[in-house]
Amino acid sequence: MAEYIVIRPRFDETTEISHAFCNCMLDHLCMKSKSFLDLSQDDAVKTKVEETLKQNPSAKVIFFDHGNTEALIGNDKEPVIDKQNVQLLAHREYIITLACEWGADGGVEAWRQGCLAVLCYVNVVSFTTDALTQFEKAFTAGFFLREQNLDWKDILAEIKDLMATLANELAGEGKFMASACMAYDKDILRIYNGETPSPACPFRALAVKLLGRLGWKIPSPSQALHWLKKP
Amino acid sequence: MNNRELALLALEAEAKQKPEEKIIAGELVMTYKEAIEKIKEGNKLAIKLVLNPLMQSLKSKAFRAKVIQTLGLERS
Repeated sequence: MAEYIVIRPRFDETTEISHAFCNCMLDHLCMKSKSFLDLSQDDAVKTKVEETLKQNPSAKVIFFDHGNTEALIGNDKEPVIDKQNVQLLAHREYIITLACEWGADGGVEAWRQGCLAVLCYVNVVSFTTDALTQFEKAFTAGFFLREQNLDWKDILAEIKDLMATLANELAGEGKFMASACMAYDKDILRIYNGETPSPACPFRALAVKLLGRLGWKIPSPSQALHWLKKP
Repeated sequence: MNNRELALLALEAEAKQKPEEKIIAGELVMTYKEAIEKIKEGNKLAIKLVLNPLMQSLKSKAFRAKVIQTLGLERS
């Protein structure tokens, strides 16, 4: 059984870079002799990802990079994790992802399904190629801080502090767009566990206010419809 | 000078300094020069993902002062 599963498609300019962002985490795992599976490029597709997740039900998951509100996108530009298979993330210690927007909905669903921590972004993640070292440091900080056994609330605070510091340093170097991207990414970063998701739906918000985390257990209308349609 | 004008000047300065470098926002990949062109054309995605974050940062007095200083726009 692997302790970690790293999923990293590489099919365009963005994933070319995000694929490389993962190398420092893989180097760390090698150095610490931890077992991991590297689902890179052609292996980062739904069938392979589902099979690997099923065979390694307690492995921590790292997914870099593309996504949308509902899915994490694989090497064939098709979803590898979506609402149909998100339960495969249940009971895992974490999923860490750089994917755009997934935290707005899919990440919430992973957390609702029982993934113990979901580090994600609720909007489009941006960065610049003139500050890749700083962005790599920011985007992989969650992984390295968790390796030090920090709790997620502290990890969230530490990453946000780091991103604020990096944004200031970049501005000081005259890299204004890089600084603005870093500050923006800091604002859209979420860790569900360190914090509870904010419901967009007013009914869900009321249920969460009245019932706390249990309010998230009530199925959404789309889920209820999905269940009704099941044969 | 308003934040939009200042943001565009900052982008133009960066575009001149590093013509090969790119801004990546999700699947949108562009050089600084291309970003400026898209913003000026009214491309909503470029405005949302490039101009707006820069304008947001310009709300910070320290950031704004640094941009003005770097661009040599201080009043003598």
